[in-house]
Amino acid sequence: MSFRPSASEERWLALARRLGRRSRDEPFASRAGGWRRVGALSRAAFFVMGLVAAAAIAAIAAELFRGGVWFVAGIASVITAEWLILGRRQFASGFEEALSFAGLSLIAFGIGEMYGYHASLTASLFGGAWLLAGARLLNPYLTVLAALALSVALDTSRPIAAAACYGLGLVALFLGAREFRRPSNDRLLDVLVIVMPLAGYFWSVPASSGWSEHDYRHARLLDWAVPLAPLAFAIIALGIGLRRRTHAPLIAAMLCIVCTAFELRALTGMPLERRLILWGALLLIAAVAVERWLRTPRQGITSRALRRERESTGLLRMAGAAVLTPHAAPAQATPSIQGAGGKFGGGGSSGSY
Amino acid sequence: MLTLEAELHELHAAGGLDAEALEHAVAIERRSVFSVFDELRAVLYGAVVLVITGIGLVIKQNLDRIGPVTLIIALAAVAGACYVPAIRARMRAQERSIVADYLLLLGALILSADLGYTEAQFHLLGANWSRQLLILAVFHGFTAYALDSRLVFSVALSAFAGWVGIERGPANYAPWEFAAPAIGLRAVGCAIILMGWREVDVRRHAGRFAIVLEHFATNLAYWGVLGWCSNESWRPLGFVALLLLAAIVLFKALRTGAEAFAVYGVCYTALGLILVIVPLVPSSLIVFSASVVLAIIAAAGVALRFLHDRFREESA
Repeated sequence: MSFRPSASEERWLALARRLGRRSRDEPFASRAGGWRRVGALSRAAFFVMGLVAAAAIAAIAAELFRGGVWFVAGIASVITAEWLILGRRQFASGFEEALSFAGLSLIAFGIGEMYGYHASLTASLFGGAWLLAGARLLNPYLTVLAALALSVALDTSRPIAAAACYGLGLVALFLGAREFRRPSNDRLLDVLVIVMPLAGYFWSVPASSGWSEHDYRHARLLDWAVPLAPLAFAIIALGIGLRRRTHAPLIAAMLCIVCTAFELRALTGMPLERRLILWGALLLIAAVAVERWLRTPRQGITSRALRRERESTGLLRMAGAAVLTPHAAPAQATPSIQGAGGKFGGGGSSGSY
Repeated sequence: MLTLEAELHELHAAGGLDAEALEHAVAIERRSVFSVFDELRAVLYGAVVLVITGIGLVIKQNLDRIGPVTLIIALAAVAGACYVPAIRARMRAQERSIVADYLLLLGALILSADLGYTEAQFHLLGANWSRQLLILAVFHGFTAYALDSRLVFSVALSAFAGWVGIERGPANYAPWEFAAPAIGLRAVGCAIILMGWREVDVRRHAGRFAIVLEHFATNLAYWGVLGWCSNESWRPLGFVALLLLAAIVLFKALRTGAEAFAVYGVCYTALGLILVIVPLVPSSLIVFSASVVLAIIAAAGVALRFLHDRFREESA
């Protein structure tokens, strides 16, 4: 009985996913060693179900046991997850991931309760639990969650935590050049490249200023490190992403540019609405230019889709458009002529929308 | 960098991939061809969000400086300009680019905001102000069919749902928000109308937007029914409607192999069953309540797995 898919089995599972084939059909089933995974939507649904199941297990344990409730609930969840993995050969299927994640988190919570809660210890315990879950399940998201928890556990100054996050992001960016046998290792580096610079930006913002607008026109030179660090990461990631032709560095570059733009939002002194329209228009123009330029592939890079749209992506697109649709009722159903207090229009009307 | 080229050749040798598909897949693996389509799409969506939010703020805050008529005309002109690339592509019978697709969405959204603002200013429809949403739904629906845009069609359906009285917003997606039976009724009624629309779409337009209508109708129907399930006096009707809806949606999932419908059918039904059964258990029996939840979740997990194993292909 294998503990988890071998590198070769995992590669065949990844290939089935990439080609949109079922992993239980031949020739994938025999080469994937009988391991089975599910689609993205089902995985998300299974994950939520697994979390609800773990909560129900915890509720039962809390009623039946007087002491060690978290340990009992955690161990029961982990055992169920292991049964699904070893007995039912589930891999990246959501349910076993949620049970393992929740079970180990409950155990970490139980240990924290024994030693008293303080931020560093709690973050270390949860970080350790998620690292264990991530390594066991070959789940990059849990491993990155562990890295984020461990950045809290460092219990150091915010600039050092920020530097550690940017550093880890850069290490992942450069390690991405290596070829790994396991697709999950590659995926882990991708998620690290995307998430760690965001965490770095989060840590680099001084706690005292919060998320309020910072006036960089009168800032010290050192303060400029906050917006320039993500910009520098974006430039490096963009260069590497285009050279290697991988998506994760490009996504990281886009998000880092968003961080820089957000941080420098007060630089122009323009009102918010004008900034939003200006940046949106600039983005549109840039997108038009890139789309037109790459309509004919340049050194193999194209703006055209190479694969048909996946069901989950199509759903996201529809939902994204529906969410933006204005639904608001007119602000006032009062007559348009008012006695006083109007802001615009004739007759003192004070409509707003 | 991961490359599955060796596996692709092995798959081809085993007869699982024809030569043309192999060549295409290997080109992608070797990165001799690389698409930035998804990145471009994300940028375009971000741009649309920024512009439409900015316009919303302009409407809200800067009226005294610009004046309502000027603003209405300016917005209409910008919206019109956004439609131009899509109309031009249609007239030339060319494939529409992704940029034109999102510009069209932006145009539709600006037009919606413009009409809403016009109504807020001039009260053309008076107490029946919500009819502006119906006008928008009809206009966007017409545009979506004329220009073949799913994005604009989603805007049309959202406006239509707004006219029926189902307001969107994070709080309104929670089932207990539909606890008022009237809103649940509206949601189910809207879903039935959308399914009727789907029939017309299939017969007259070869089902161009059938899938969009099905997704909207399914979610609306479930939200309405979950509202009934969470309302004490409507619970029996909610329970029957839930089972009926589950049968229809799961049949659809099995027939078409669409993963999303399997997820809707199983997850919404499990939630509905929890909403119906758990309140019936005395609050002192926590272990029993939690066991019921656990049993429902386990059954839902098995059902979703069963359905998933019957799909024609994975949609990961």
